[in-house]
Amino acid sequence: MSDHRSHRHGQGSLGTGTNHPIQDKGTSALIRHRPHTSLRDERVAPSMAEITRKRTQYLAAARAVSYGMYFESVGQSLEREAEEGLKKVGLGPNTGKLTRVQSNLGGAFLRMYLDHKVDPEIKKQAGEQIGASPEFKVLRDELEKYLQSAVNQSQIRGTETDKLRWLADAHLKAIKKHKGIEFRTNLNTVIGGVEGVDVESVENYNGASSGGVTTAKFHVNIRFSDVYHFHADRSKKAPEQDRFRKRLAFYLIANDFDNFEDWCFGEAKPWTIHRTHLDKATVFASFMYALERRGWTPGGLAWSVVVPADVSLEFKPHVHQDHHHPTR
Amino acid sequence: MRTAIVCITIAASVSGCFGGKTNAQTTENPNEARQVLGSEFYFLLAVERYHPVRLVHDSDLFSTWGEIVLAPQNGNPSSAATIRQLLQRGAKSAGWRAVRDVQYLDTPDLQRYEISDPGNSLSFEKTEGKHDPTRFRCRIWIAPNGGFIVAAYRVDTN
Repeated sequence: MSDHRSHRHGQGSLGTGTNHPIQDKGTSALIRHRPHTSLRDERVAPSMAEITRKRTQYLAAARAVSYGMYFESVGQSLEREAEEGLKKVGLGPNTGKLTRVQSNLGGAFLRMYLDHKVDPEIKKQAGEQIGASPEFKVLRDELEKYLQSAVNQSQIRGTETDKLRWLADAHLKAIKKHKGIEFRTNLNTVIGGVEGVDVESVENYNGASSGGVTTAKFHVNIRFSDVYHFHADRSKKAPEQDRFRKRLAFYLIANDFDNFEDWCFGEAKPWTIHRTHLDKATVFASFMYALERRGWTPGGLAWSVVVPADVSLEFKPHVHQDHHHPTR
Repeated sequence: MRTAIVCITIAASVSGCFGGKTNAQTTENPNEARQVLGSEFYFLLAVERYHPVRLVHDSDLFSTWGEIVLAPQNGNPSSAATIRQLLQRGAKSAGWRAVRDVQYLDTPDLQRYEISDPGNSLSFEKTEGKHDPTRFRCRIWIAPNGGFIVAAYRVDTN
């Protein structure tokens, strides 16, 4: 069968009259194009059984890494404890930097993503860790301050929990819009930056009056939502990683497992010459991106959790002012 | 049996992704630093006559962070005030916003670079994208004699 490209200069089959050399515009070198079918035809396409086996292997590898993440977190935790112990006796690291400890739930979240199923127990634990995080404390303090100022200005009563819910919701949404809400100190591999925030309800659970001032305590139930995925845009922020992960995805989509493994696992091995400057975690994130693009993982996992913030507000008695207009 | 061996080999290889700690890279090659840092941080490398002497880069699944140290070529430093001005101008034209403080950045060992006041620094932030934003953070210290520029950086996606 004839191909329209075989009549172009330099692109005919080898040995034909149209395969004479042409000058490359970039390098100015004289080159002969390879026949357009050679690359694909030389490689035998893998069978369905081979593709299925590779899929199983790669997903098993991802699952193995998820357990590795757990043990790494445990290791970090032990290292941190040791450093803190040494610091107490004046033997800690002189830079003052302590080991960063990431949540032990990072691996469990990776498994939830692979299963595309939210585990209520893991979600509950994530909620507890968010509630105990330093970022949540800052957010709670800020919310309490804002609500107290709103109560003072608008003369809201303690029983008006709907109004408080609306105010809290609007305030947290404004924070998310302008500054963003992030939990990165210990929870970067669990939630990181929050994609959605809503105040579901405000419950008054305690109140006491003293000297005409009522101090009421509330649970502000905040829902944080996120999507766990690996396809965040990295084209500008990390062009090298972006090129690398797109290459991996290309090989995987083309069922070119030899090149995929050569590039991916070659970069992860510590004893080989690396083609990129990417560290191992980035290589693994790229591996996951390729699996996601190939459709071998179920894709982004949306999840959310409600975390109660306990706030305490003071309600002063309303002062009814008579507006006397001065007489002229 | 063969499949099981291959699977274990791959798992072990990929598990190695988390086996190492910080992947410290030391380089004097600006091009190499460019590749690691990405274009958002080119303003750091654009200070005239300064070149990277140390780059420590680390990451997890969703974020990258590290520190970069620049020193004058030929041991001929500019004044700290000039460097400060250049960095402020460069950051501004690259779309960074000057802020009072930035979160989540580890302070490098500044004494090593003759910087005694950690509070005297420049802090910048930048956010790209609205729905699923990427956040860039950077804090820079300049040695009083201009001998070193030390920057801590961080990039967070989702």
